[in-house]
Amino acid sequence: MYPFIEIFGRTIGTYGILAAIGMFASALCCYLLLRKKEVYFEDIAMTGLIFAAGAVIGAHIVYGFTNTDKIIELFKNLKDYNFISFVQTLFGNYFGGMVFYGGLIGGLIALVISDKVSQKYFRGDVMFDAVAVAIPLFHTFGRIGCFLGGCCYGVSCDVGFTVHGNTLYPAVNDVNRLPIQLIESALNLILFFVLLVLYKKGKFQHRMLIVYFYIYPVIRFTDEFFRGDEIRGFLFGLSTSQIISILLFLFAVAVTVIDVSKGKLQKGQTPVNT
Amino acid sequence: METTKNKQIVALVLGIASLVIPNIGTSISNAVDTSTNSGSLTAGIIVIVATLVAIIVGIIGMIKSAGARKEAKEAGEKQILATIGLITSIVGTVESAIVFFSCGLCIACVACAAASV
Repeated sequence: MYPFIEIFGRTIGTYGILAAIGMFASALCCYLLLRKKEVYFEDIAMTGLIFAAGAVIGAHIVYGFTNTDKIIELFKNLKDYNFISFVQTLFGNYFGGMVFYGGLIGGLIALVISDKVSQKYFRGDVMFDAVAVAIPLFHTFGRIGCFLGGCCYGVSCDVGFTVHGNTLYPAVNDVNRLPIQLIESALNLILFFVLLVLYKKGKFQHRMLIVYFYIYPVIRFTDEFFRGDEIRGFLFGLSTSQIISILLFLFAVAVTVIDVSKGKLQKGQTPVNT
Repeated sequence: METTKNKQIVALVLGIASLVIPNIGTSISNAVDTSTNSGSLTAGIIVIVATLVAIIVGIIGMIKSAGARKEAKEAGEKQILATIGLITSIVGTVESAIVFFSCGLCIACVACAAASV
């Protein structure tokens, strides 16, 4: 694993580089899928910017949720901290990390708000499906970044990799661990191709995100059982991401139920209207 | 006469600035003696401030160049400057974001150093 590499004499985190590659790849994917629908380069760039803004905020907030007990403890013992140590502990430690689901939900909320406020750049009716296809592509690179950085590691087992000397995540060192990041990365790549084929065939128009919400939460719910890190918060024996997975899956089911009931209504009304 | 030329030039300047600012910040911080706590603190703050400024400038550059490109397209004018502005803004913002977030831990280090100065 290589948490850092040196480029032009500058030490840069590999996760950041992989995330940037993922961003460019998913933006390119969106552009190629949408270029025939009068969506231009600047629309994709602004969509990326809006999504990224929401994603960064959402990812940090959800990471903060995983540390709720510690944050409560921090505010209870407020008098023990000076300003700098308080800021360092709160924003550096408890809100400093990022959670994928938080980023996903934050980014999507930002896009929905943008779509409602102004459709100058992001037009939800045309672009949401392509965004849904691009999300697993970004995640594929993101998980490779996790593997290289040494975070989000798997449980200890006979198969996998043993890491030595990772200063960022000392718990990963000297234990043979399942490369769950690479497994999730591969599953995300498969999911990307599945969504791409469905998009190309014109299936599930305006509901590609719901298809994603059906498949990815199942992948994530399962793979959380094979994660070795315990910094993501646990509620009722499930991790935060597993609970969010359940909620997203239920959201997808609810949207499908509403769609089906509306479809039935429309079918019932058609003979009357005609 | 090209009505969007000024807007395109502004976008281009912002894009180039977002590329240059973090490199200036890094060059200055490399010149600082980091063998002491206060030196490390100064170098860290310079990099953080420079990348943060570059991110803000880059985001403004993206917004301006996207708008200029749209306006130029509608007016039937060339969009070369706005396109270059958009590309440089994106590259500058992403580069600065990588450095900024890669150095997320450095923020904690800076705070530690500040606490011990």
